[in-house]
Amino acid sequence: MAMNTSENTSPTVMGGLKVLEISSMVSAPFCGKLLASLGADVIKIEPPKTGDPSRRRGPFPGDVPHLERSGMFLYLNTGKQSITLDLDDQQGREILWELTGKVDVLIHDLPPSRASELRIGQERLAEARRDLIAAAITPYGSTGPYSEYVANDVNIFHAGGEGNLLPNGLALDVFPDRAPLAAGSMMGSYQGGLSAAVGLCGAIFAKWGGSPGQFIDCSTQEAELTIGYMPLQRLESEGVEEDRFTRFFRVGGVMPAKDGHVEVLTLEPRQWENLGHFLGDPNWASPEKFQDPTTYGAEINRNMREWTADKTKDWLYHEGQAAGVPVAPFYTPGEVFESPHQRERGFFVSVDHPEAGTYDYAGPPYRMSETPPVLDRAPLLGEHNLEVLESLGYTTEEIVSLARSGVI
Amino acid sequence: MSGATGPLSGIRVADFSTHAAGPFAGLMMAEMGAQVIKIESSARLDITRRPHPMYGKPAPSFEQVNANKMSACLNLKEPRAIELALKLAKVSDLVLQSFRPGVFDRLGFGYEALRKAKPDIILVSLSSNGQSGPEYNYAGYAPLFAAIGGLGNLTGYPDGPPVELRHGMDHTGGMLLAFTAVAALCAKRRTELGQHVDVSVRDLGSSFIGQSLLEYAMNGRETRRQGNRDDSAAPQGVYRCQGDDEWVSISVGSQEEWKGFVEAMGSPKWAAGDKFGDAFRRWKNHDELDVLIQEWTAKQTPTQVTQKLQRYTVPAFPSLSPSQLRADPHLEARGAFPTITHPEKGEMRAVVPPWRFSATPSRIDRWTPDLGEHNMDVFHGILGLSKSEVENLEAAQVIW
Repeated sequence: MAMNTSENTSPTVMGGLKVLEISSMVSAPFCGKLLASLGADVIKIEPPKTGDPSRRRGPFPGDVPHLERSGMFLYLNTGKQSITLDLDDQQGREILWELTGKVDVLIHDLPPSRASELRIGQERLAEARRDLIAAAITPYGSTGPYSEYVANDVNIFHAGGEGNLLPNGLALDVFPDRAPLAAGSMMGSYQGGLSAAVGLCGAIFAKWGGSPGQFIDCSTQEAELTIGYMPLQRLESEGVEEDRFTRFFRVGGVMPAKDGHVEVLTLEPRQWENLGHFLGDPNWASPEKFQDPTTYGAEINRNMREWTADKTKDWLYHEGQAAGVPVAPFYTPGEVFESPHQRERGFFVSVDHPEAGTYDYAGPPYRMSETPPVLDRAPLLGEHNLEVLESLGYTTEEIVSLARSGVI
Repeated sequence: MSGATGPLSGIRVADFSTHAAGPFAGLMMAEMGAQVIKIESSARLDITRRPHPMYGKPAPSFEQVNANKMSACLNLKEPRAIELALKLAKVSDLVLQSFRPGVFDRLGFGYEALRKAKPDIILVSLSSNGQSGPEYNYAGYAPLFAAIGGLGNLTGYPDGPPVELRHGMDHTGGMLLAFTAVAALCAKRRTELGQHVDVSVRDLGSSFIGQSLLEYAMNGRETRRQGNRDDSAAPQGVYRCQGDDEWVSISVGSQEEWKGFVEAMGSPKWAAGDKFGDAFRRWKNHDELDVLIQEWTAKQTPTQVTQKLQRYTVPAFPSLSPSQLRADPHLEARGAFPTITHPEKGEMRAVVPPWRFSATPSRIDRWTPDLGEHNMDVFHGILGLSKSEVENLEAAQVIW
């Protein structure tokens, strides 16, 4: 994949843009990671000694815990710098304030009361840092009765409405009585960070066109709400409430395979016909039956599940696609990692890290022909303390003292 | 359409995308104040204009995805329509498309043709598998690219099959597309370079499981489905409450949160012993713990549980249904459902844009236009064709 490297030094979108990030775990770090992939200089502030909680989360090579070897941290913080700062210390807060005067963008995931306590609340920034673009990425937004509520990923996914509508299809057939379900891999938190990055790019675009700095209140619940707006629209205009028991395509969906599962989805008449041929034109998959999924969907699916069950995922995928049927395998992480298509596209990028070692990382999920993305390793905890504090005018002696007193 | 105050005001987008993901990206830009012109055709109606395969009629649930946009018709099978499309590109900042890779080029409207018409054009292309690679032309919808990207396989109960991810995945793809589109606009504002952006939504699914891909790279181990649970919090789950299909999500990550949780439950006897004394034991005895927790939640509403636990700073929140979302007091207080007047249906609520900008407010204030509603505004008003020319091209099924 065309990427910005030491050999290929194309311009980047945000080269030279200075971003300060106070964040933990997934949402705000993913937002910062996306800006770093555009070439921005992102400085991440972490608590001294312990760092971002994701440093303790793993996975670790050989399952040996180590602050510098956590897969979650290494992935979500590529391309950033790290400084350690005790934000409960007076001098720590002073340094934070000095930093806000040196950067173009501030990203944080603090509830409004904590932001005010650290003296980086919306009002103070509006008064004293007029050029700054600041985004607060919080579970429920920076205003309203739940603005101080705490949340982990499972809470936010169910708070945004999508969780209540999962699972569907086969999983629901098997377990109709179980609790509604959050998507895997902290999807809601990733969505929150991605959505905030769109808003930030918008504000940066406006600023480069002459607009002032500003505050962006990003609620992950509302990001989920926007992304999952459809059931709300249906409720609003038809009065029909969707639930996980009725919200599924009557034909297709998750099908068993010999080595896992595949997804089959035919939304166009031409695709139904192709599917019928692919299945060998049995009576149970005739075009008339496809046209009346309410009556025949269950029968078609029962037969189709039997038909797919003794075939491999990749056979169903490649043969199905060749026959004009939208099919895809449910790939495990390992299968994604080994995928010939993704390897040929260069989606994975080898990244060296002095403590963690060299691994192939998932690359940026986009390509830009003239301003290719950047992927550099995650920082060591406090790796850039010296450099950043020197840029603020602190002397070596002062920096040593700050370290000894635990401020950095 | 309107929204001159948004961060993208002054930007014009020609949106040739169809279905959900591409149009959602256009919507995000329209909500940020860009003038987004949806190009569509009676020759091949977008899925949002046709009876939906599941709902059986033009689904009102699609209404928002083209809100704030203008609609102009072009039948791209006609050479004259391609000429007009190129003219439109010439006066646009960005072209958005989601045709199967190769189709746009075959139509005479690929990146090279566009660049000839306008050297600094930005073309943003969305596809399932990207514009290159052995599977580039494979068909895909949201549940397919969620599946092949790896996110689908990690979603589901641990002892059950994986789960189909639908519109949420489409629109998340649209969100990524919007990110790249606005980034490309930033690049242009700075360097005056246009460019081609290639977004594969399959990559998006994989970029959301980055930590699991590293787990495989580091240890050769596959991450498995965990239902509502998570390795680093126990207990964590969604628990049944009083009422019909009422649930609350609870996540206890630290020892401090566990103490708060126990206190909030009124310090029941079962919570005092060693069995659940630390995170490891709670994780090991999670099934047993879940039964005890559910005995407590089942006697209360999700809101009561949430309020009790949040008082002790323990993450908890109801699993909200669509009607509960619409009635939620917090979302109400934040004005999350602005009212828009629909020409036929009267006042209806929409879902607010996901950012609150203090200086350049985003907004949603106009419903999806009728098919071709802005033909005259676009071809006469913007491209400068005479009114009779537009009418003739409509009759000739070019503007159609």
